[in-house]
Amino acid sequence: MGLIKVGEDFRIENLKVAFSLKNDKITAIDGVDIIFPHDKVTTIIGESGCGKSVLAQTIFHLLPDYAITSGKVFYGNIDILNAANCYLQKFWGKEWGLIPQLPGESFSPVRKIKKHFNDIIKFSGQIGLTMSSVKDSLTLFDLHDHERILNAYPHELSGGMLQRVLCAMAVLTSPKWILADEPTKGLDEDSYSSVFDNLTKIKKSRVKSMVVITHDLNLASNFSDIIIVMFAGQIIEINTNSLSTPLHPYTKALIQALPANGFNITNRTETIKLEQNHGCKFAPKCPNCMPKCLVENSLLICQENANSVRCFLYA
Amino acid sequence: MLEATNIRKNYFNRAINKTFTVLDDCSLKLYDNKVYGLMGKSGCGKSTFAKILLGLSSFDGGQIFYNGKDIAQLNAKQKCIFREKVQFVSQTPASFFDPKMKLSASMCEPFRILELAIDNERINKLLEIVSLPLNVLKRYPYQLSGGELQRLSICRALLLEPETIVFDEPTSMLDISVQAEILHMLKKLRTINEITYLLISHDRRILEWMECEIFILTNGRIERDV
Repeated sequence: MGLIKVGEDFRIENLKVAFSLKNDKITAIDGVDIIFPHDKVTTIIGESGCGKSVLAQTIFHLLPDYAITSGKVFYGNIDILNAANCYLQKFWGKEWGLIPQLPGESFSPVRKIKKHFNDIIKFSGQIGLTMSSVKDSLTLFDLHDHERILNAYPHELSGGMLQRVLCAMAVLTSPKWILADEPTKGLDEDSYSSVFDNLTKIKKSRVKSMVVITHDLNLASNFSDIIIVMFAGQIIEINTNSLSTPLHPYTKALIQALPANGFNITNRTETIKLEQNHGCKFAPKCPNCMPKCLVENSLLICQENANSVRCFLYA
Repeated sequence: MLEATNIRKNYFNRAINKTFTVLDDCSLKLYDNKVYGLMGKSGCGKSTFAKILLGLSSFDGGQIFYNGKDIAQLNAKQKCIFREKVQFVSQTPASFFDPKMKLSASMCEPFRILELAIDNERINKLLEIVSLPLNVLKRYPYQLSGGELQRLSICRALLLEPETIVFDEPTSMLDISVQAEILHMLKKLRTINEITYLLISHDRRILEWMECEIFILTNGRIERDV
């Protein structure tokens, strides 16, 4: 098993990411300033389309070429957004590992699992990596039937098993950072606890610095050191106490929508219009909306225990 | 009424060179205007059973009856009625819409396939019920979020005034707030129309909240939850 390596912080300054359509432009990230500290698990939560995946893809330089970016992303002293792809090759898969979402779609369907691992061994440039390391990595995730798994095609393994194979692939090179994108999406109770255990194992034994993207509040609160809540491309809350005291009305609404709370939804019947999109983007749905929220957007306001919230309720 | 009796389904696993039985003597009766829930672990055969119930997959034993008639014996006209009245909503709504077609064309497909007159008024009314604006029809599937697409697939399932809808993990790929909205919407729909739901889920809390009569699929058999 590889030693735990210490990575650098990711520092983001006024990041904006947009995608152009035929006659329009969609802003996915709208002015984000944050530091992802090393040795911590930072989880990004929020609903579909809020920009959480785009934010994570930006910091690991995984965005498509047609994305329009501005602002700065630093990994230590390296300016990620302006670095050449050939330079960043030495980080991908080696210093930064990825556990993609949808395990079924993350493998080539016509190649056996063994071939996928062979690619990592071949391109990692790490001399000590052998099939024996692969088997150790599989064992770490409770995959003991090595020969069957390595000789199987992806469709011959269940979703939970494929998820664990992806985890084994991500940690094989002992990267300094791991990006896990929706690792528990669509899993049943058993597979969920298996993936949760796997992530905990990764955190304890191999990689301390992680960025996890999820809409699973249980995973976020039980696994993370820092929780970032996003809405409409902006960070609206930074929570360091496992969401035990949510601050923003949106975070509270998310918690109310949990099965344990009876799937409650925010009910706001009257239609309100934001003044030229300058107001808080959650205002049309916010039960605590004030006239000021419609015309002006709050800054992130610091609260106790290094928490921050973007809401005039706390101004 | 839709009824599955003694359904058996085998799969051949090439990796271990063996045939294994995923469904063994499974029976389930869906009476009109009731809500049923089917739960079980990943890979236990829930989706396979749903596809068999809908006549979308072959099986190795047993029969499916729709209003007392074996669906294998239905003639072309009766099959059309079966397709019209028993609808399916999957966990991956994107797979239900042709990525190259605008959603307006996709929404007309059920009418076109069953050679019925396109009822735009009904499409508009249902869009309102599932809380989607009319302009979504001008877009392509990739331009909608997962939650919006799922609402649209439910809307499409409702177009032909079905008696039964089989939902295969309708919210498993959606985030919490969208999941809650979809579940509220499904409950609301039952107050407007008399529909039988079969909800397939691995989450008991969803089935209990939807007030389902719960069945469990385990070791290839369906048993009533006690």
